[in-house]
Amino acid sequence: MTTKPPLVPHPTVVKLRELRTAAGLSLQGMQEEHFIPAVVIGSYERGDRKPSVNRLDEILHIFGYELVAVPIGSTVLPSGQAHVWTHDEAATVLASIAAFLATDGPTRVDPAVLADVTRRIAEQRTGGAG
Amino acid sequence: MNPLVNDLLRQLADRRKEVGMSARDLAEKVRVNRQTVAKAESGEVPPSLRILTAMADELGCDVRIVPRDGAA
Repeated sequence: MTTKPPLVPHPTVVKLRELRTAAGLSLQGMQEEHFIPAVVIGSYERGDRKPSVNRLDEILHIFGYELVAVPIGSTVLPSGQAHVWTHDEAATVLASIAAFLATDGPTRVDPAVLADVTRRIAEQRTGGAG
Repeated sequence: MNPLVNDLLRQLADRRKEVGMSARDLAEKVRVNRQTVAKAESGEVPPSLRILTAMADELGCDVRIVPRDGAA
């Protein structure tokens, strides 16, 4: 019998505290202005409890955000639109990064990481083993 | 049902049809019964966050948090 790895909580939950503070809301404020008990929000933020999808979206709505589904590998633009990179676009960006790395300027990007990403994209393009 | 969540679930239902996966197949991959997927997609019973993200993952999607249109 094959065993599938356990499903892990989605990282969306861990950002709640960050989003709340960015919105200038305290736990008490959430309770008084939006009628969501402070203890409940706190437990979501700590990961002690998982909100329902409806409750999570309700909270995000208060913070000025929403949940969307975007294709894996896409980039969510500041407008909220998902942009799926084509292989050619990705190759152009990688070539630009490679050119930058080849200069004498300071860099914190590990060339080995870049090489690995380039290899993965090449494999995808050629339908190689993933 | 929260209309925004409904949109998200509709997106995933459309995506499932696009990739040619049946609700039964998706349910098996997510390890829930077919009714759970069907009720989630129709908005009748919202799925848990775990099931939602698992459904998205199996359909090649990520669930992300993005700024709402018109939000400050």
